[in-house]
Amino acid sequence: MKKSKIYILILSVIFLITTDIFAASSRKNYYLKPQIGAWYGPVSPVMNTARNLDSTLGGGIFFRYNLPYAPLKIGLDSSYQSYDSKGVNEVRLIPVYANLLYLLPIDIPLKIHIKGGAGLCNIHMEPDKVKQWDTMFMFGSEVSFPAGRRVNIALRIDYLNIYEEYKRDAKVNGHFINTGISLYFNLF
Amino acid sequence: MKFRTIIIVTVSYLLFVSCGDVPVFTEMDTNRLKVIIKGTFETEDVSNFVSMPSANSPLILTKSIVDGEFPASDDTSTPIDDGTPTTFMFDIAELRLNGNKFANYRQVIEAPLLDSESFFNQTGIVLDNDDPAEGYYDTVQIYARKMIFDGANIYRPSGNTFEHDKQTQVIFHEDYRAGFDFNQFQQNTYVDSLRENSRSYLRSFPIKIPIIGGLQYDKNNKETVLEIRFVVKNFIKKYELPFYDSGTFKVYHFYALSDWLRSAEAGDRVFGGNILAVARAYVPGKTGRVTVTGLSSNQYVIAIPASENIDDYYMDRSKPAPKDGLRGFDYDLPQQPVHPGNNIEALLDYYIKNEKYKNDWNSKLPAPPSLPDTAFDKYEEAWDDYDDAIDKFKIAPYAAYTGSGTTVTFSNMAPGEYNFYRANRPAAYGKFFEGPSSPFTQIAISISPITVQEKDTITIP
Repeated sequence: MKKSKIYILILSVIFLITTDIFAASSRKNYYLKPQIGAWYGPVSPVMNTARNLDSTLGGGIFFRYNLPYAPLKIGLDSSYQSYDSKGVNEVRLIPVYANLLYLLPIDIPLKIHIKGGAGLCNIHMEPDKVKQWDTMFMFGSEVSFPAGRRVNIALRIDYLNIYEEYKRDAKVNGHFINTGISLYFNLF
Repeated sequence: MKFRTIIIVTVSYLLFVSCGDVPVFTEMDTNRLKVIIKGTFETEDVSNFVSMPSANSPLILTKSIVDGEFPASDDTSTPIDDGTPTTFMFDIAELRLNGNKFANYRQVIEAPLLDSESFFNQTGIVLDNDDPAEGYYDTVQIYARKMIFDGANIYRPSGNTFEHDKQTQVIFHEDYRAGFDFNQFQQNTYVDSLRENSRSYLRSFPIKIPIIGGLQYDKNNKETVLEIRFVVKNFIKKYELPFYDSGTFKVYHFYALSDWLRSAEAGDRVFGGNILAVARAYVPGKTGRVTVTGLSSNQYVIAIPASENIDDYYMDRSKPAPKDGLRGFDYDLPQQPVHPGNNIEALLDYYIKNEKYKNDWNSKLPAPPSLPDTAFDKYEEAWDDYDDAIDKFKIAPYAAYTGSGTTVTFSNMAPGEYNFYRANRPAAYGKFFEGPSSPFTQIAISISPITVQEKDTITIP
């Protein structure tokens, strides 16, 4: 009984947070708030990387902050992605990158952003016991909508390029697609 | 402003901090280690298939697994033509180096028994792998799912003789094929069945293969070759195995690798310990080429590292205590017949055989106080002694056959010191070189050991 009361209380709070009563005045400006959130969803190696690694599920966290030019925001992303293969190779990625988000000027209830960025990716490869940081680039897109005064929901798709071709004997880069559903919160 | 500062500092750090120098994705996408498997005894200058001594081995009712000597001498029944096998099928679950995973790909080999096939000439078949970690390895393990020869048949009694029942079927690579999987019998005959873990004791899981000279895997070499020779060519024999099919006594006739090292005898239902394989490693471009001249036709030349003893490369039949392979020594124990199921005729037959078994057992191991305390210990010791003696046997990392010529060439010898030996004739069909005296004569003793260096071209003598 005690647990069910807690559940009802939590659900009520969520309901109140997401109700239109509070959203009405802030909806059009929610994009202008600093935001923090998390995402979870399928992550897939693509192109030549797909020959060597299998798709899996990954997740991450991000933070976004406004810039003086309103449609632009700067973001900081990190995630955890652990890939198995049909062989013995296992690769764990922790990309840490900054990106610039641009809100497309389309006047619909959904907010559509495009984004691009760069950073470093921590790679741990077994069984070769390689642990290192590689330069990486990314671009992607995101569709979001508010689910209350504080909460937003988004669908995101990002392409990650782990840049290695400049290295000695290197022939290919790492290519990954990250997709996921995000939940993030407006701060302040 | 505070947040902006944090972000700018973080981005700057991420972009300019030093990175690792291993191209991880190129590493995964390319292979530096090339694993080749061959079904031959020879490294190069491979001998041709010879006919099996007799395709018409008679059925022998008194033996369980018939030692595949051709022709069998104690025939009590009508000869049946089993034909000869035409294809070897090998289902490999994975490979490991010193127990480390580096190739957990299921790979199947289906090799027609022809001289022109890659598996049976000096070309070999390439096996997929993911490259191991850098280091030194001295064994490679093959985890075998199935080993199959086709040409296997089932016979059923018909009056005083047998008649053909049907071809055996086996699932190979998710497909029904004609053949018989002999991988299931890779326990040491009888003694393994007495072990507590006998049901899970399969000696071919894995097949542990020595890399003579070792594999020093260094990623600075663009390619390293690991060559495994898993002897199949001219090493095939026919066996017979009785069984009860819904109470009806029947026999399998099937082909498998020769039981030369650990002989299977009447009453045995397994014939493990007879897979013979060897591996060697070399770096292309960093090898020497050695030609041995002045030989005669039908001779074998082997080369072994100078640190190795030639006595380990042939089988001294006088040393192992049990006669004729494994069996017949003191405390050799009788084997219980297999329970046939519920068919009354088969059951009556079983009970008679079981009474004989009990009588044989009691005569071997009389009741206390005459039972020696150490009966089982001696049995175990005899087997262990025998195993120790024959476990030393190795196949030479370099072997070649002159055929009708008088020279042989080893075109990719890893740098090192070697001794070369000559055998004046091939081993008998289904056998390797055996003693008691060494069948090998050393070549060029005065200049031995012969040092092979990178890019050397050496001619002996």
